[in-house]
Amino acid sequence: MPGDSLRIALFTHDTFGLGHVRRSLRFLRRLSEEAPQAALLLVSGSPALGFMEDLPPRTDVVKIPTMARTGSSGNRPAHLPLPLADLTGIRERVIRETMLAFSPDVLLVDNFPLGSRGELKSTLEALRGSATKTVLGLRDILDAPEIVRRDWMRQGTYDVLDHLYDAILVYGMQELFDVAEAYALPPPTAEKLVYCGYVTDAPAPPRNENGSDGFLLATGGGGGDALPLLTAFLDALPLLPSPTPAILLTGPLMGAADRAALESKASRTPGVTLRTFEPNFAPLLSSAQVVVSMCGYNTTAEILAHRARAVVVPRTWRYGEHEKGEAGGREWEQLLRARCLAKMGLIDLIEPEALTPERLAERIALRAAAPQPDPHTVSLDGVNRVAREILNLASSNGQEGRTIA
Amino acid sequence: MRRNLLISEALGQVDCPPHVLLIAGAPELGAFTLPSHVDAVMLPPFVKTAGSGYVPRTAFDSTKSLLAMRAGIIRATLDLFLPDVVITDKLPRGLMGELDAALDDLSGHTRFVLGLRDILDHPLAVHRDWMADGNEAAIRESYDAVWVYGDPSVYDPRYEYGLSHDVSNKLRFTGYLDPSPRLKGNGQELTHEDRLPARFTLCLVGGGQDGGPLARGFARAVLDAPGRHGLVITGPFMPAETKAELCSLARGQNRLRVREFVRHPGRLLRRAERVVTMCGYNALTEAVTLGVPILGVPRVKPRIEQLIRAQRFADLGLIDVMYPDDASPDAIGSWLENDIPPPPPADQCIDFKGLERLPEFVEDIIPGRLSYRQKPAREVP
Repeated sequence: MPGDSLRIALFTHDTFGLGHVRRSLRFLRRLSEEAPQAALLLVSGSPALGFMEDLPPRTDVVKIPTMARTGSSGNRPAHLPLPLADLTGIRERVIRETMLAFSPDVLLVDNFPLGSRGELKSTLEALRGSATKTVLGLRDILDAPEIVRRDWMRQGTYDVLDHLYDAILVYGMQELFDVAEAYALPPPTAEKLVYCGYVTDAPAPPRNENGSDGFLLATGGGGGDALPLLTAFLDALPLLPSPTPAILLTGPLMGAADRAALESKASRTPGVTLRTFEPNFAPLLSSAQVVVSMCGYNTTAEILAHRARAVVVPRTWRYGEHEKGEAGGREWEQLLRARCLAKMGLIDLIEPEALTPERLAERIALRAAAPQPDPHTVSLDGVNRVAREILNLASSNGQEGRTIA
Repeated sequence: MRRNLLISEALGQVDCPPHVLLIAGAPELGAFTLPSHVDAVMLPPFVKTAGSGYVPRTAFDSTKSLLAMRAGIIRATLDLFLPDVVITDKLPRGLMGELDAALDDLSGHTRFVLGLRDILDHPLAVHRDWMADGNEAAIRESYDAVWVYGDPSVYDPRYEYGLSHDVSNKLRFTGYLDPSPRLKGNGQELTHEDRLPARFTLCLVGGGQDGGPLARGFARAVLDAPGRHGLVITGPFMPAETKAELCSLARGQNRLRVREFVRHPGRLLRRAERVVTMCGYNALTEAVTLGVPILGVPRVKPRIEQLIRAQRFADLGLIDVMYPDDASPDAIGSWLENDIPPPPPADQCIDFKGLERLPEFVEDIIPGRLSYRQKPAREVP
C-alpha cells in the first residue's frame, strides 16, 4: 500500500464484556496523540463497539461478523447464526484481507494470540515475511497457570509466540504475576516480554476525601455476569450498621431478565439508584465511600488508579455462565488477581464461595473505616508504555520514510 | 444505512428468518442496534468530495489503497458467505467498481438484485453517472432484477431516465418502504416525551449536514410569534456551531426544543400537529402517511433528488413545497399560521407496502429458498 505515514493496526477479539474494546480505544487515543500523522485501524467484531465514545482522529474501524457471546447465559443473541466454521472462515479471510491491504508497521493483537478458533494464524503467517511487526498484548493474568499451559500446548500457542510474534507486551507487573514463569515460556519467548503496567485512564484526579457525599458504589463491569454480586449487594444494604445511599451500575451488557430482577429488587430497597452505564465512571469511583465489584481487569485497574476502598468478589464461573455457576467450568483469572492485590493490602477480597449478604455488609463497614489504600508500588502507566513500545517498534522496522509525528 | 436496516428487518418477518449480512461503510458506530438475524461487516468509509469524487475519511492515505482494501474485504466476505441473494444499494458495481470481482466470483450461484431509491437525481445527471460507471452494462450482465423502492405513479425511472429495454424489463416496483406500521398499536410508546406541548410542529433535517439553514429558519419562525411551539431534530451530522446556535436560541424558554438524534422519529411524528421537513426518502415517506400538514423544503444541491420528490408529492396534494432560498423565518411563520386542510390519505394515491412485500419479492427471485409466510407486524416496545 502506498503512502508514507505510519500505520498501526489493533485487533481486538469480541468475547464477552466491554474491557477489551475500551482498552483498545485508550491505546488508539494515546497513539494518535503521540503520532498525529499515524493512520490507525481497529479491527473487531465486538458488539461493544456500539457503546463506545468517538474514535480518535485518523482512526478507522473494520467491523467483522460477531462471534456470538454477547449476552448473559441462555440468552445469547448470536448474530448471524451461521455454522461456527463458516463464521470463522469469513472472519479469518476478512482479517487477512484487511491486514494485507493496510500493511501496518505494527499490528497489536489483544490478549488472544490466535484470535478466536485460530482465525489469526493465516494473517500472522502472511505478515511474517513483511515489514509488519507483530505484537501480542497480554492481560496481567489470563487464567490459572496450568490451564493456560494446557490450552497453549493444545492450540500450538507456544510455537505461535515463538515464530509469529516479535514482541509481547504485558498489561501488568512481573512482581505481581510473572508470566514467563507461570506459563513456562521458553527463554527465547520470555525475552520478548515487556511488562508495561496496568492500563488505566488518564491520571486520577485528587480523591474527594471530605466524605460528605458518603455513598456506596456497586459495579457490575460490562454487566453480563453481574447479577449474583449485585443481588448480594442489595441484600447486604439493610444489614449495614448505618443506612448509606448506594449507586448500582449494571453495565450495558446485562441481559433483560437479569436487569428486570435487579430493578424490582432495587425498587424495594430504599436509597438505591440503578444505572445501566456511566460513561464517566472515574468521578464516581473517586468519591464513593466503598466500591463493591468483581475483579475484572478494567474495573480493578481503575480502583487502583483512584485509590478506592474496594471489596471485591471475583468471578470464577466462566464468562456468561453465571446461571450454571461453576458447573459450567471455572476461570481463575479474577481470583488470582484479587489474591495478589489483597496480599498487598490494596483491596479487600471475599472468596466467591464465602459470599453472603451478612459477610458483604460486614466487610463494607470495615472497609469504610479503613485507611485509604496506597498503591504506589503498582505501575499504572500501561497506556503510555504500550504506546511507546508500539512506536519504538514501528520506527525500528526500517521504514524511515514513514512519518511518525 | 437506515433503509437497508429496514430491509434487513423486513426480511426477518417470516417464519424462518434468513441470515442477513449487511456490508456497509461504517457511519457512526452504535447509532443503531441490529436484529438478531442480522450481522454487519463495516468498512472504512469514503466521503464525497465537492466534485464527484470520493476520498477516504480518515486513516487511509489514498483512495486507491482504501478501494483495494474494501474490494478485498467485500469479495472475501461474499465468497465465503455465499449468499443466495445480494441486494446492492444504488450502485450496481459498488463504489468505483469495488464489487466487480465479487459479481464475477458469485455469478451462477448468487442472484443479484439492484435496489434503487424512488428517485436518484435529475435525469441528465443520472444518465451521465450511469454512463461513466457502466451501470447499465453491469445490470445487463450481472443482475437478475432491479427493485425500485417507489411507485411508478409518483416517478417512473424507466421513462424518466430512458432506461434501455432489457434493463427496464428487469425492473419492478416494491412500493415505498414505510416504517411506521411497525409502530402501530402502541399507545404507551411516548410516555418519556410527555413534557412535549400538546400541539407542536416538528422540524426534521435528515442527518443534519446541510440542515442548518432550515433548522435556523424554523427556530426563528417559532420564536417570532407567541403560541407557536416547535421541536427540531438536528441529526447527528449537523455542524457543532449550528447546533450550539440552535441550543442557545432554545435556552430559557419552552416553546422551542432541540434534540440531536432520535432513534424512532416516527414516534415524534405521530405527536406533531404539523411537520416542516427536508425531503429525503425516509422522512418524507414516514411523514406523508400521517395525514398532517407538511411543508417540504428540499435539498437542491448537489443533487436535485429531493426537489423532484417534493414536487411530485406536492402534485399529488400531499405536501406544500418551499424552495430553500424562500424558506425565511417569515415565510415559514406564515405557513405555520395558514389554515391548511388536512391532506388526502396518502395511501390512496401512493403504494406504501414495500416492506411487507419484500419477502415475496425475494421468494420470486429464489423460489423455495425463503420461508415467507409472514408474521404479523411487530410492535416496537
